[in-house]
Amino acid sequence: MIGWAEVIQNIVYFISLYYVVFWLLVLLDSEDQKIRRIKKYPTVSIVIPAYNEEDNIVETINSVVNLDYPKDKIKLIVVDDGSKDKTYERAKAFIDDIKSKHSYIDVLLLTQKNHGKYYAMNHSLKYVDTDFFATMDADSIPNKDALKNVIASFVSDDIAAVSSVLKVYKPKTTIQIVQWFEYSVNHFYKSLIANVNSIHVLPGPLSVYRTKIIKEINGFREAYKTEDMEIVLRIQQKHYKIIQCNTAFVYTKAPAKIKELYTQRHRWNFGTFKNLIKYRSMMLNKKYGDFGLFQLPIILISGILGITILGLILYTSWKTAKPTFKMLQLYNYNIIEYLNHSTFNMILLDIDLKSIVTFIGFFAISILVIWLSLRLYKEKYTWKRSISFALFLFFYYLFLAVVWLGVFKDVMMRKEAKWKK
Amino acid sequence: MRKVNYKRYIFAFVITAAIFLLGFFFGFYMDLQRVNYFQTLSETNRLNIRSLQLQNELINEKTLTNQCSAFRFIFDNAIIELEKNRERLELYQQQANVKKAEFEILRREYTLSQINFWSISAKLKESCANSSDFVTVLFFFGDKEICSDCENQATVLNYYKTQMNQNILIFAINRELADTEPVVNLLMKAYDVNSFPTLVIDNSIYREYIDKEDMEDLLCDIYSTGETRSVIC
Repeated sequence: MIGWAEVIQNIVYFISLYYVVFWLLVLLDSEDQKIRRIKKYPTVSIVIPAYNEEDNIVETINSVVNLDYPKDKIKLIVVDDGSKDKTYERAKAFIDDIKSKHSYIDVLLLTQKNHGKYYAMNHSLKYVDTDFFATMDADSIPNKDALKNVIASFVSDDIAAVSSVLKVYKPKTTIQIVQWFEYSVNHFYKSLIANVNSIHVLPGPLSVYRTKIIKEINGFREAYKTEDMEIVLRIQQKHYKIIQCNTAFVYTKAPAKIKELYTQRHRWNFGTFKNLIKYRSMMLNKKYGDFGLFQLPIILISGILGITILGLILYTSWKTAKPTFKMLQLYNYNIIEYLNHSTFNMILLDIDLKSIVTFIGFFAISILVIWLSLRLYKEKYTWKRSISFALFLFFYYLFLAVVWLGVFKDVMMRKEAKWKK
Repeated sequence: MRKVNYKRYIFAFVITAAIFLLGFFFGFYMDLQRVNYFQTLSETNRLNIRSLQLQNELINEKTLTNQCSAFRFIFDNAIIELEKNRERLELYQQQANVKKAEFEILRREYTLSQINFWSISAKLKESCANSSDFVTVLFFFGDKEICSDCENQATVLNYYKTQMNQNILIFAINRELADTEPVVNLLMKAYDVNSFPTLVIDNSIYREYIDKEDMEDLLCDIYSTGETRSVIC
């Protein structure tokens, strides 16, 4: 009889393998990214919504002002979302300084009661009369050529939005370096899914929209604090294209501690899950192409798969370790004595080749994907990052499974998203 | 309405299924190798049993005199081989992908070998009493549903095995085999085994779980030489 754990394990292997094979086929079919030569620079409004960002706001405004893009084509809108610190004062002082030095730069500073990021962006939309509308998180810094490259990626009229590639800003802690790997891999994945128009999120740091389209769909919604995902669902509903510019880099501050990372990921996944439920009619709906048939279900399945894999690992580890643990108990936890009395009795046939080959297969694919990602985004791997690399490779997706567990628990307990920004 | 490349979905499915099928054949090949290994081992066991039975008869007929230590040496080596493969057989059976039935037959055969060795060990104790300071344990066990203590009992027995080596001979008999193997059924009837775990330590029957301390007392009462006793007593 095949045990239930074995059945579940085979289902997990099959789905995971199918998922990998599908994206490898997309990778083989993918074409090099097209970039348009900009003859006439279009106008762009860049909105920086900020809540309690007194430490970052000046640097971010400065980085936007210094973008390699004609200054007369940029309109900068800073929206203070009712900050309790000195965000508004610092932004105002800096903006006044800019205006005094460069009168040709169009800068607007708005303030509002604290209503959240989506509200701040909609507030700014009222003042937008440019061809494009760009978002920029207040804790992020774009590369000088980022905006120019993003705008050059609007190669056809049906492209509604283009996102940039996020990089971790000066990663120092182990957790930040783990995210440094993750960001590269995630953006590599996004560049793949863009080939079949299946991008499902447009992150805050430098995503650029066609103003006409963003107004057509009535701007942003609160959407469980994940307005950057919800707006994509509405854009996809209208069958517009969303792509990622692989040469536009934006540096963003990543959580330095595990608890902060958990909170951030919980918010993202909670919002994602709630939005998926809200827009469930799009799921497995061939009207929305690969986005509906593959990408949306896979987001949900990856959460369930993660939890299942976590459960299987814990179950198998316990099953394997239990006899040793019980024996150690009898040895009064004297490991040396236990080892002295143990005999090593292993032959070649004892090796479970099927599991080892499966492990090596997935391991090799993971290494290949990480290598391709780092190469694509010109990131340099150093040996100092080996610990974080190992953590990312072996434990990061288990950590995400724990996050998903928390999300499912909160959904069942009908909790709402707590984060405010 | 967007275009969907269904060919890609199908092609991905075919590749995935092909890789899975490859894994299936791989598992089949592994099972085959493992079954072959145990079949060879079974033949060796059968040969060892015949040889030991013959030696025992010759010792009893006084054809071979003063050969007890040599007999014990051969017996020990044979039983070490037998015991080494007990856990291995269980592991292979658990991991078996295809040849589960073959492993079931091998398990039956293995149990028969164990009973054979148990029987020879009893004779060895009689005919070579001076060189036989060992304890035999017949351990009747069942799965978790009917025996919550069997796993712990196995651990305690394994513990003493690691301590006493060839001075304790453990013959573990799964109650499941009583349905298919008449000898197991006969043994269970002979010792009136109705509950699990049941232990037959030398000739005494114990119908409940024996923990580490009680087992130590029991073994210390049985061992006769100071050298053996000094290990745990």
